[in-house]
Amino acid sequence: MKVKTMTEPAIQTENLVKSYGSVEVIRNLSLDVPRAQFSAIVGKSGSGKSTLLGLISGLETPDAGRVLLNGTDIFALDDKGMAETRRRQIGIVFQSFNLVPALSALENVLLPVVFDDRLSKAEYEVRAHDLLSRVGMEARASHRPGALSGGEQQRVAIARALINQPAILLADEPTGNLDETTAAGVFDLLTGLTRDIGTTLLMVTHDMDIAAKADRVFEMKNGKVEQ
Amino acid sequence: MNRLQYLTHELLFRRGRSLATLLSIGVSVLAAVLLISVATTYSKAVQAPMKSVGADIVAQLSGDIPKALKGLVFPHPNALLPADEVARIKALPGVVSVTRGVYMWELPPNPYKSILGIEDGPAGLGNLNANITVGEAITPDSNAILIDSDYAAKNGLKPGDRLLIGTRKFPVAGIVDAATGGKVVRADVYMPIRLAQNLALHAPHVQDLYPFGPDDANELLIKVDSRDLRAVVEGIGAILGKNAVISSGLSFQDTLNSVLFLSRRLGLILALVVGLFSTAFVLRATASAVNERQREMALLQAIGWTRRQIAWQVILENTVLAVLGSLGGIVLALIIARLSGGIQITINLPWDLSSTPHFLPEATRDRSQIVTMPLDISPGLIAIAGLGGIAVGFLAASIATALKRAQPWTLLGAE
Ligand SMILES: Nc1ncnc2c1ncn2[C@@H]1O[C@H](COP(=O)(O)OP(=O)(O)OP(=O)(O)O)[C@@H](O)[C@H]1O
Ligand SMILES: [Mg+2]
Repeated sequence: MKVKTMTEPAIQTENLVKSYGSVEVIRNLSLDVPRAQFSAIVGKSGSGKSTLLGLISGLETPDAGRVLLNGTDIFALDDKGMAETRRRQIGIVFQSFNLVPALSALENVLLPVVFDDRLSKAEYEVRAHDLLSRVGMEARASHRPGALSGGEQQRVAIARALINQPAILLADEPTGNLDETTAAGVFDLLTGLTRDIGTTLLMVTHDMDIAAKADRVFEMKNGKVEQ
Repeated sequence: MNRLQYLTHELLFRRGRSLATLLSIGVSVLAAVLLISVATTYSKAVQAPMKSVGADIVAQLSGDIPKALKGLVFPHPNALLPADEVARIKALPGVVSVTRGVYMWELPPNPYKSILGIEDGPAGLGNLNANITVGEAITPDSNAILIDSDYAAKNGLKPGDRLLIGTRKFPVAGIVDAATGGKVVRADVYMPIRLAQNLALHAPHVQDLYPFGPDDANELLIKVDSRDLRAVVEGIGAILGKNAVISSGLSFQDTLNSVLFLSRRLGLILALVVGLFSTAFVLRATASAVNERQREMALLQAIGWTRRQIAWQVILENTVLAVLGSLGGIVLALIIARLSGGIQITINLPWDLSSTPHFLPEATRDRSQIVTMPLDISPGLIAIAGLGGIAVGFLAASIATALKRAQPWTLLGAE
């Protein structure tokens, strides 16, 4: 049995390779993301930042190499194992929110735990309301995404990403679609909430002010990272 | 929140898409049910004239034309049936009962009338007695007669009157409404076979042609086990020979199928074609509906649902729509069937079976018969159509969710 220590990286990639057709986007990329810290990935547009985050989340498959989350090789898992890893250990925040339009804010937050029985439905509802009030959206709990502004939608999406108290939170330019002041508020929420529960936050950004606040910054160039 | 709440929200939120899927299944089920029911009802309607005779087969033998058109005669499709041939027909396997009759015309000097003497039994006197509108029934040993309602109206006859046939006057016991029953074997005057046999025995122009004895007949009403209908028809043909005149549901069907556009088989083929087209249509509609939700399905994967849970969610949604659509289609079909008042077909009876002498102008009677039947939608048909609709919805969603999709991450990154 492998013992996880505080010093073991939360996320490790080993010799990752990913091409789209003849374009090699990720070239033999190895990376260690430290646990319970805020790390930022920066780099020029098209440098492969989003692709790397997709590989780490297991929602893209690499041509070669491994991704270890808390020491587990996620591509060695079957669909069920992969789903369980995402349901229990990962939260994802997207640039374009990806809320389900048919569901209310509260229901969107509860969507990841529909099949989770670690807590009761009622306990999850309490947690969802708590998260919504922390992101300042409790008053809008019954509203559908269509009735919310971009910043409000992203705050609901953050609450959704935290409903399972994930060990790892992946965010791909979470403030990219928001104006400056809204962006700053959302960013503060994200870093504050993840710090509170000791979550490893890995965020793609090309905002240098944000990167400056990170504990660790990785810069992508030619499909590789420079630390 | 549970998956059913999610399902309900989803279906209600995308009303247009839900309605399209629901309607495509509903319309298909409706079309299939109506087509099949029209086809089956039609084939039943075609059998109706024979059913109302009370017999499944009417057998006669074709003979000669009377030498003189005077007094009591046998029409030429009603020659004497030899007693031994009748006995052999009775013995055919599948024959349930044989009711004998004597059918005659009375020609001048008395006014024209057709006369049917018939044995007792459900296909004979019993059947007539059951349709009496005024007056009383007659028994096999009664000396009274029954009068057809048309004939009674035309001649102002009522129970208690006496009617001259040959040289004898017969008391009228009752009036039979044969028209509503759609009798195939129809006459102006009905009597116990005994009386008709006696009349024929003393009719010179019958005796001219046939050695008709006191217990002979010239028409048979035969009930058979429906599975043996075709075999019995063939058996009677073999016994009576080339002059046999055999009428059954089969003969109506054979003549009508060539004229009318919907036979049972054609109905089934049409239903099959409708079924295939609508299956393809539902498949397309479902595939595009599922396609629209690729991004949502990718999101569910990203937040930790298994592929199986995601597929089931989508399949469940479509199955709910399929159940509602099928139910709607069936209910609508039942309503339409009720409102339509059934199908109506006009059947021209073969002359042999409704032999009025066309050479006598006052005797011409309309030989067409209108049969109205309520559209028949059986529980079996409902079950098959309902399950079919649900199965198509379920399968369409299963196929659509199993189709290869783009990488989830790419979908989620899109603006
Ligand atoms: N599904 C795909 N099919 C083909 N090419 C792709 C696909 N996804 C990404 N690419 C290509 O891979 C390269 C890296 O894309 P990626 O989205 O990772 O860049 P990025 O660093 O996130 O850029 P940006 O800052 O603009 O978001 C780009 O050249 C892009 O066109
Ligand atoms: Mg990107």
